[in-house]
Amino acid sequence: MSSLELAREQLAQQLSQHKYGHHVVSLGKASLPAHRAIAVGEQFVEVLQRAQLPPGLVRGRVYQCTGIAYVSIAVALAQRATTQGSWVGWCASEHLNWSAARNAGWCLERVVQVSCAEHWCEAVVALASGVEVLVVSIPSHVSQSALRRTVLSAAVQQCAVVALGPMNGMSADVVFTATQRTWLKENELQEQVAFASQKLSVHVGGRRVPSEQHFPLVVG
Amino acid sequence: MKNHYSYRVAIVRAAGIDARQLNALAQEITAIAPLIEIVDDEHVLVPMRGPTRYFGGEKAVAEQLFSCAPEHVVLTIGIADGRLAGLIAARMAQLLFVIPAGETAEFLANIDVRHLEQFVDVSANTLSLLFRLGLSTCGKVAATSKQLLADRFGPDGNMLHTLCGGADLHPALTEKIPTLYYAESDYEESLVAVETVLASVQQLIAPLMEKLQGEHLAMCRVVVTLTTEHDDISERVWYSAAGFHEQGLLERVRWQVTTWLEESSGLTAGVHNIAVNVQNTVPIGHEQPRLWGGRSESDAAARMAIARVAGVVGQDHVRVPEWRGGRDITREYELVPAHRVDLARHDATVHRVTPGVLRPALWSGDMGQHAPMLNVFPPEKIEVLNCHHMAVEVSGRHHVRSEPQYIRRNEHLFLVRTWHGPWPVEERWWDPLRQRRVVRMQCLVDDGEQEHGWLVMLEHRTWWLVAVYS
Repeated sequence: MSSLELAREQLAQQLSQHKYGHHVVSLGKASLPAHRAIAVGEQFVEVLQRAQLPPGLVRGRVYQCTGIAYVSIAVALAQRATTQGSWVGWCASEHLNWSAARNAGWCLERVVQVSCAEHWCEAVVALASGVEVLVVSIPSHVSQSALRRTVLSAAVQQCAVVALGPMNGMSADVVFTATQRTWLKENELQEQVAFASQKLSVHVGGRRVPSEQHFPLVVG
Repeated sequence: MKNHYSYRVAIVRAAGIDARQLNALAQEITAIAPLIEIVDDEHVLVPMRGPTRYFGGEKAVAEQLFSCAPEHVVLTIGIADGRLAGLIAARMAQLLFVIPAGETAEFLANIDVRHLEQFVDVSANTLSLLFRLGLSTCGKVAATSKQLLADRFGPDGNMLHTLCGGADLHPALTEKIPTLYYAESDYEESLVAVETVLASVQQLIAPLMEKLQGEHLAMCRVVVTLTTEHDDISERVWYSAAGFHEQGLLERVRWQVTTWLEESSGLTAGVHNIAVNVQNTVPIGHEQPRLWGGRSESDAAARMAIARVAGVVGQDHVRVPEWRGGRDITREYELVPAHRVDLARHDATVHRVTPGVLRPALWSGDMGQHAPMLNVFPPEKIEVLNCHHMAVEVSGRHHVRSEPQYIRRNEHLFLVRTWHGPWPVEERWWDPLRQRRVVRMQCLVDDGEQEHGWLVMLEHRTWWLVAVYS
């Protein structure tokens, strides 16, 4: 029994001894909403609220990042989670530039990368048992039914899944799609000018989104 | 009072041996001398005090050890007063190298400190600094004041002084010593699968390690005993001078369990009892506890998940980033297997990913903070062309000789919308073998449908695509 469940049970016991205790049957997970959402950056909080969604990554849900610069969107989406104590499992490209992730604000001490093309489903389920955010790139050989089973197992284990790119026909709960990109520069006054960041126009949709939205997102 | 003979050890080296053969060798040696230690994947330590008396001298024991060699494996043996000298002697030996009792310090005096990197848990940075300070041999390190070394290198300095002087931090066990900490568990349903046994060992050692960490200690000599329902026993002594972290000890127990299960005699029942006996501890650095005390629950859960996923995909496929440094923006971090790092100690994990204090800042080739998101590995050979479809060149003073107009990648021609740079990098100019001189450029290219941001690099007059801004 995890300490959260233990705390929940102790709280239920304490409340049941209270004079209004007979009204308390049990404390379900839904009564502790703060524990369900994992923190995301300010840019995402605002748009998720506008889209009438909880302002964070909801455990058990699947988020998909597609379109141009989808890796940067996923990195931005998971950034706040790493800084607030959550572990991120990266089951996607082995060639992520970790310096870029650190520049985007990731706490790299809570990141684990798994290379698992062959036993993808088993690895994802095993990793989901201990990390709170799982960034995955779905191999083309994984069938839709196997993918559903895997995602369901991850959801049962209270893990938020962020899928990069196509999902082999499965639909995600929330989809972030970048449609346009503008390159922003730094050191304009100096001789050397470098691309400093990208301003993306991102569309938020998906089967759990009551009100679809567009929002600008600046990523590294 | 104990003399030099009390701490004599033989290091048996079996170069190129595989895990199964190493287990067979260890079992054969156990019949000659109990309490042996598996040092690493090719060295076994044998305490000499008892066997020398029984067989009548060190050479007689060495003959017995040579007879333990598995088929097609050649053993070399080094006998000395301590681990370090024994390991070096075993490496230098044609067959047998005996350093007489009391002469170990003399033997080590002329040994290059670079040998320490292979046999002692000491960082390359420390060794590099020792070299630059003129302490190029173990003798010079041992002759330096212990206080000075401790001031400059901290606990590593103390350790180096002791080892270079020919002594051991923890002399090899010649007899069973009293237990410091003990954890044991019986299982009603016997454990059959390797992963289940490992998970049970982890559940046993995790609270033990947490308790020790609370006292700023780490276990450095542990006896792990596994017993089956039919009373088959596997007992191994594990030693690490710097102290074990959880993953490190589990990696050794994994070897113990796997090789035990693969033994030719075969096991007839599952494991029903596991015992962990801590016989020595070492102090560790202080760790700042979290605001609410202890370690976070999510860290412990993540460590369990990492062990679990390593069982599925293999240990080397579960990796964590580690700071490497350098001036190549695509290689500042490197992925290292998670089982080789300490994930349990918060300060160690933070240290692992924190950029070094000598990280270069504001230098002529600095590209700022905008690192590309995905590396292209291995780099793809491309052609950067000017308006006349001739290769773009960069002068020795880092000026682009003609404007890049096109980039050819896999026979596709991309139009260069804009470009920035070049940023020069000259790495390791002092090392003729590893020196590198390159220039990098950011290019915004158009494939007719959308724009892509690329980081390209020129090295030895060849252009490479090294990373993309995704």
